[in-house]
Amino acid sequence: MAEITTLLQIFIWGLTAGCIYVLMAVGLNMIFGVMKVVNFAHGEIMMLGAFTSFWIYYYTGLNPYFILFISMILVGIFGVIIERYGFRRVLGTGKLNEIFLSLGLIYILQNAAVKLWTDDIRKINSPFSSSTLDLGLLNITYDRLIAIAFTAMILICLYIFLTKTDVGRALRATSQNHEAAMLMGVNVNQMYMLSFGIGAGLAATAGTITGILSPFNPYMGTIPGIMAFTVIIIGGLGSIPGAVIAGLMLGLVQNFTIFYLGGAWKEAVAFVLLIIVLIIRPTGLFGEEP
Amino acid sequence: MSIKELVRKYAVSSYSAYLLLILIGLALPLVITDDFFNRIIVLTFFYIMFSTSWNLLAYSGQASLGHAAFLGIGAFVSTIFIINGASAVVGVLAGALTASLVGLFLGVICVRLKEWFLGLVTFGFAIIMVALVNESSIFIEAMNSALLAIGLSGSMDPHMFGGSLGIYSPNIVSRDQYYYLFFFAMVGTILASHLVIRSKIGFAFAAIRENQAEASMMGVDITRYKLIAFMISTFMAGFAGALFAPYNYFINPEIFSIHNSFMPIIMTISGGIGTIGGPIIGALVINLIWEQMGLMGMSIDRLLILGLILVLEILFLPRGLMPLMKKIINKASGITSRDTPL
Repeated sequence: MAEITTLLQIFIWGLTAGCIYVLMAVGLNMIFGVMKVVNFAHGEIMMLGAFTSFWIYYYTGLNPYFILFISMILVGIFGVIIERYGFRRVLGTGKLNEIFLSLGLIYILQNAAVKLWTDDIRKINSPFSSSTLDLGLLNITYDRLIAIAFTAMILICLYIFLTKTDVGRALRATSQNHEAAMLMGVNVNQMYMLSFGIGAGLAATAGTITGILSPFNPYMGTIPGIMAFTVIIIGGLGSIPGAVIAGLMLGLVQNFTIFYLGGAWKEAVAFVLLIIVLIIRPTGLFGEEP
Repeated sequence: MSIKELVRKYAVSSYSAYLLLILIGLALPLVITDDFFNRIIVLTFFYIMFSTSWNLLAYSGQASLGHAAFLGIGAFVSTIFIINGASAVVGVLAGALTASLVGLFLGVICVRLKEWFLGLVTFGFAIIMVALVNESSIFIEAMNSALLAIGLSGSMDPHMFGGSLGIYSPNIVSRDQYYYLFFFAMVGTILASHLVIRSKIGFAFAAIRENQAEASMMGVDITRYKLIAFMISTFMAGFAGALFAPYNYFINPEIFSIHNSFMPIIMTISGGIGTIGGPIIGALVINLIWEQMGLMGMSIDRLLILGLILVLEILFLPRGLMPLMKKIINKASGITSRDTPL
C-alpha cells in the first residue's frame, strides 16, 4: 500500500489530466450535440491551440495564461472557418463523408504543422513553473492548480452561457431538434458555426494547458483526441455533464493505472473501460439514445 | 482497328475487362524485371487487397477507421504461429482467423450503435494495439525473430530484393514467386468480394447501408449481416497482413499506425466507394502517386498532399474516379447500356 502522500499526488495528476480530457470532450460534445458530427480532427485542433499559444508567447513573452484567451479566440475562428468551408458542404450527404473529411483534416493539420514548425519538442514556460503550493503533506505546482481552476471556470461560464443567454438557449434548442429550432427563428447555420467555434476554442484551451504542463510537438493531439472520444462514449454522446464526469474519471483511472501497472497500460485501460461501458450500458453513463 | 472499335468489341462486359487485367497481371513479371518496380507493383497488389477488405465493410455501411488493427493482428499472429513451428499455410490462416475473431468482437460491441461508435472504437483500438504489442513478451518475441530472419537471409541470396528471404517461408524465395503469391491472393480477394457483393448477403449489406430501419422491416437480420460483413472484411485484412509480414521482412508496432488505417480509406474513396473496381483503381493511382512523391524525396509533404487529396475528393468528387472513368469509356465506345467495362 502506497503512502497517502503519493496517492494524493497521483490524485492531483489524475485531476489535471482529467481536466484536459474534459475540455476536449465538452468541445466535441458541443459539436456533436448541435451538428451531429464527430470531429475526428479535434486532437489536431488542440495541437493548433498549443502552437498558437507557443508562438504568441515566443514573440511577445506575455503571460501564457493571458495568451490562452487570445489563442482560444483565434483557434475558435479557425474552427468556424473549418465548419463553414468544410463540414457545412458535406453535411447531410451521409455520415461517412463527414468522418472522412475529418480524417483528411488530421492529415493536413498534423503534417502542415510538422512542415511549418518541425517536430522539435517545445514548451510554453509559465512564470509559476518553479513555484509550488506547500500543503504540508504534498506539494502541488501552481500550474496544475491553475489548470484545474481554469477548467472549472470555463465550465461554469459555459453553463451560464448555455442556460441563461438567448444564444445559449438557441444552441440547446438546435441540439434538441433543429427543424423545430429553425421554425422558431433560430439561424441554425449560425449555431453550427458557433458550436464549432466553441469546440475549437475549448480544444485550444486544452492544448495551451497541456503545452504549459508538459513539452509537446505536432503529434501531441492524437492520443488526447482519442481519449476525448473515449470520454464522450463513456459519458454518453452529446451529454456535457457526462463528459465532465467521465473525463475526470478517466484521468484518475489512467494515472492510478500508470502508478500500479506501468505507463504503457495508460491507453489500454481507457479502452478496457470503454468496452465495459459499451457492453453494460451502450448509451454511455448519461446518454439517452443509443 | 480504332480504339473505339476495340473497346466496343472486347470491353462490353466487365468480365472481359477483368480477364484482360488478369492476363496483363500474369505477364507483367516477364516485362518488368526491375526490382524496384516489381516491389511497387507488389505493394499495389497488397493495397488492393487491403482496400478491398475495407471497401466490403464500408459497403455494409460500417466504416472502420482502424483497419490497420486487423492488418497488424494478421501479421503478428501468423508470425507468432510460424516461429513456433507451424507451417506457412497454417500460420497465414491463423493470422487471418484471429483478425476475423477480433473483428467479430469489436463488431458485437458496436453493432447496435450508430456509425460513429464503430469509427471511434476502431480508431482507438488500432492505437491501443500499439501499447498492447509493446507490453506483451509474445509480440516482442515475434518482432525480434523477424529481425533475426533478416540477418540470416541477408547473406543467403543477394539476388532477391534487399536480400529478403521472408521470415518464415523458405519455399517462397524469389522475387517473381512473391509477385505471383500476391497476385493470386489479390485476385482471390477481389473475386471473394465480388461474389459476396453479388450474393444475397451483398444485397442485405446494401439494404442496411441505405436504410437500416427499412431493411429491418423487410426481414433483414441487421445484427447478423453486419457481423458477417465484419468477419469477412477483417479476415481479408488479416490475410493481407499475414502475407505482408514476410514480404516486408520485419514487423513492428508501426503496422498499427493511423497511416495504415487511412490508406485503404483514401484509396477506396479515390477509386469509388462501394464498387468492386473502386479499390483497385484507387490503390493503383494513390500508390503510384505515393511512390512517385517518395522518389521525389518528399516525406512530410506527401502525407500533407494525401490529406489534401482526401479532403478535395470528399468535397468535389465524393464518388471517386470510377463514375468518371465509366463516362469516358462510354463516350469512347458509344455504349450507353449499364453493361460497361469495370
